[in-house]
Amino acid sequence: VSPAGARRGAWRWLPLALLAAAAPCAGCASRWTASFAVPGAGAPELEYAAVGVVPMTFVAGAGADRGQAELASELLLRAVRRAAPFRVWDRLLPESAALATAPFEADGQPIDGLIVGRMRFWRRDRSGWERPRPGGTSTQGNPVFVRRTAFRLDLLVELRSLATGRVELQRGFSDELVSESDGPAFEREAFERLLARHLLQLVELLAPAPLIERRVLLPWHAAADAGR
Amino acid sequence: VSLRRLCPAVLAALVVSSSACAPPQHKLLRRFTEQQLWAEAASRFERELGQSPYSAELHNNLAVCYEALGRHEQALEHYARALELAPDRADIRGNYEAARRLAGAAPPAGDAS
Repeated sequence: VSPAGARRGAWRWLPLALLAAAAPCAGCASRWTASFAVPGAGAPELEYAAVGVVPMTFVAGAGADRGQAELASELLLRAVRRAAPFRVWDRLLPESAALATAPFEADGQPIDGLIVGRMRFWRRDRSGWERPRPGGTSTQGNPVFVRRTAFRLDLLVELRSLATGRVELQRGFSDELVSESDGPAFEREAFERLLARHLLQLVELLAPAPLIERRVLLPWHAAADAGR
Repeated sequence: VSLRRLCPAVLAALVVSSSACAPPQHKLLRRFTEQQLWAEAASRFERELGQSPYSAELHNNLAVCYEALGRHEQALEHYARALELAPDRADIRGNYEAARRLAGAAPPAGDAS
């Protein structure tokens, strides 16, 4: 190839290179939608102004010890606080005690309803999905801490009236989480995210449409305006 | 090295640099939105704004956090500032108008629109 030919060949690439340089960053063209329940707005229209949160029942039974149940309950409580338009009583109630005592009061304030979360774990084995074995070790009996494996979570969330004892609203969710990291941090974060997402869906079912607001979050370039 | 060989490499470099310009921010945004970490997100954006006070995106994002936290007045202030800085951004304008509707605020004098 002669030098002149090489130069001509190079120029052929120029429009493409310019196009690529001018094209928007694929990530920056993305938009992140923020969904949140607006604090205060719409809550008076809801039947439940205050709810208590009861610990989740581990259907895995003996496979879940007290510490694990407390962790799951704490995650549920945090997710409810984030997602729900209710005034949430920030103390966990043992389900049996809460249901046996109606009308229920917390610090002198009446509680209208309960959010009850029930979870059922499954773990994937060579033969397929199976329920964790009761009394197993932390890697056998408790899928929250199962390492490098997949587990499925069936979550049933109820909104239950304490006045009537009726379940007013019930929604079941099923999700599959794949654990790729070693240790509980990943599971805890994934778990919390999962619960928050499902609870937000639950709130959307309960709430009038304007209650859930959506906004666009934008990627930013911290250095871009440094010289302005 | 001939120009013919060099150009594809330059092109590839441009594409890669263009598509990976701000991955840490993207991760953060995903985390904030998925986990609804509005207080944490607000702190982060406040800090970033200290260094980049002319970023319309950061003002917009901080306003979203304030809204999610129920701090509507501050949210409106930051949306308005974002629109001042980027009056042509339809996404920021959409956020601002929705926030004003929600807060029941009358259009301010000298409206950015």
